[in-house]
Amino acid sequence: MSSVASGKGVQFTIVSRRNNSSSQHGRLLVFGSLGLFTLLVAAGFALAGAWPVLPFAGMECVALYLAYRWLQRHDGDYESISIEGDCVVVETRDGGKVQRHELSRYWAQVVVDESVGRRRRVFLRAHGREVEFGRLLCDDAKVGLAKRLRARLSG
Amino acid sequence: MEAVHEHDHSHDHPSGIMRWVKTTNHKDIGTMYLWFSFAMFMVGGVMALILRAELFQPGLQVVEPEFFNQMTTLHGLIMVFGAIMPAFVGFANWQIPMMIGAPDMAFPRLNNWSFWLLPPAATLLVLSMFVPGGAAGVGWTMYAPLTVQQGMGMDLLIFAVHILGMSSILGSINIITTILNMRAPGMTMMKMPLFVWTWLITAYLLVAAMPVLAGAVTMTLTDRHFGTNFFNAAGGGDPVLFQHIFWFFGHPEVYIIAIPAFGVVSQVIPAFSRKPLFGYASMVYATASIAILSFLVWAHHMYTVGMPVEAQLYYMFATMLIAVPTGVKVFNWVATMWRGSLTFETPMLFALGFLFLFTIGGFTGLVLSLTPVDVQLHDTYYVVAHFHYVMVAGALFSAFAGVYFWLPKWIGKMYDETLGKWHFWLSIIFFNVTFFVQHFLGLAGMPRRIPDYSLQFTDFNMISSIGAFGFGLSQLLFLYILIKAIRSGEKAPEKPWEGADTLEWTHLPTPAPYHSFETPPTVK
Repeated sequence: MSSVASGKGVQFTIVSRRNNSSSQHGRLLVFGSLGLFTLLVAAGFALAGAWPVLPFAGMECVALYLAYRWLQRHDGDYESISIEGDCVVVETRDGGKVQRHELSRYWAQVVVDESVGRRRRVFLRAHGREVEFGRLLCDDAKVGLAKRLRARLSG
Repeated sequence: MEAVHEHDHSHDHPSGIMRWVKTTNHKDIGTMYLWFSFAMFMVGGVMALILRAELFQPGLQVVEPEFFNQMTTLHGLIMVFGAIMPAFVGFANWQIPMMIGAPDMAFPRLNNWSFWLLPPAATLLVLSMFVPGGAAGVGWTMYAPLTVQQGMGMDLLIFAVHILGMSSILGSINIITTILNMRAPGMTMMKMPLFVWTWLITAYLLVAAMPVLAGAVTMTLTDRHFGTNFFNAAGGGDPVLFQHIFWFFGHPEVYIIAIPAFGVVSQVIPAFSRKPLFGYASMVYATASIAILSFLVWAHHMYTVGMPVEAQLYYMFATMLIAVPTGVKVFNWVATMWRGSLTFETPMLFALGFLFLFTIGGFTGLVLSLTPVDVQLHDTYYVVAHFHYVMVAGALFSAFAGVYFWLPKWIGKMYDETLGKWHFWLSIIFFNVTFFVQHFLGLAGMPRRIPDYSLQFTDFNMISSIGAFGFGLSQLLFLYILIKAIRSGEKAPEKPWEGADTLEWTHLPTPAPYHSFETPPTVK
């Protein structure tokens, strides 16, 4: 996961993305070739009379597809926090679902949940609404981001 | 909830039994795999000692022949599926994320399920001894039509194999996804440590081979209970078809066990030679070649079924071909040591033990690849000696090397070096006492899987049994070394092995924190 800061057009923006080391093409090649090989082997045995290999190969291909699909869906996940005029905007993309939350900059508070034994969670809270952010960051980076955001909000 | 302030909570994690049941942390799961594997190694080892006690002298002294067959079957299955495979999955869980700079496995919950499928499967296998008729006595190969004649123990065995296979498939998909998608920036495929490469290739093999095994045991089940005749010749089925299906899985399975062992040794030898691995790219290609060839040679296990001579020739030459990439690997390990600044701590000793003994196992494999020779040696103790050189001296010694090598990183404490060396020397001596003489027994014609034998085989069997008990007791020393290291080992230095240069040694403290690489490192 990475975070990028920029100030183009808005006063403050931070974007964090997943660290994906494979390309879409690479994933398709790997999962596709595995599934194809499995099915070819199973088809060969089915031709020799051992057809019960086929359903197991099929189930495995489903599992491979689900893993591939999960990677594809989450490939473009990101989270951005920006301060635009009087608003703090938190935009997240999680598995293809994009959500945008706008909170008043002057009322927004940054809070950190530090329940012992759990991962830290950071929230923006205003007017009874609470929006979690920093889900793609590690604990230390979450706290760092929370501090920076606090400084910006009070500045 | 509190205001923003900074504390290092990286060591916060749940404790108690539920930590282990619910954990999704790759290090916890790796630890569970390794302890499970050791427990199964002990169970399978006791079964082996029952076999060797019976074989100490001719005649029947200790167990009934039926029970002997059950022990043979369970020993093989437990050692292959319960001990060796989970041991290397344990290494994979601990090491792969740390070696590629990832925070965890790609699917942490799936990882938890993959592990927790194992205990029920192992329980089914062990419980099968106590059902009416006892455990299946068919050998780990589960050949038909003998499987049709077994009691309820066979059904438990089939279910256990299904569960173990499911665990392997889920684990493999997780490993493939992790390696492909979670490498740190700059960690290109050809910069990955060889251990990671070997696991990527192993996971491919598992995914490709496991459905075949699942199909084979399902057909066995339907032949037993649902009136099908896939393998039952009396009903028009073909028992040889089972052998083809089983060995299409079974031969890659050998490499599923051996290839991660190659990976461990490829990390240990350069570290103690203080040199980079010689011929990295050729090692990667050789490993991939071995994996591909492993799917093309299965029928060399079946020369005696009456296959056409053309098929025998094909399988013979194809099998001999595997010696080429394997030779590349062996020579690269040797070249890595050449003019290196060698030291011989316990991990290196076990890696060298692996190198010598696995090479012997490879050579005897080459002998068995020759059809005319194999027809004579088929199902003799020569085969038993061969595969124990590959499985025990190959895979197990490599696993020991890996445990001693990475233990300081895992627990932050050093093991007792003197005791470690004792463990190595006792293991290698007793291993050879046990199994080297079995070559002679096989060459003299002693068949495998029999509880009684002709008088002429007595001396070598006695030697072998003495060696087996010595080897078994030596492993209790390993347990003692582990417990001693965990409870009262000296604090490990940050980098106990001067030549170790993978990310877990260069970028992480010792012991590795509970959560590591949450921000990926940049690899140059």
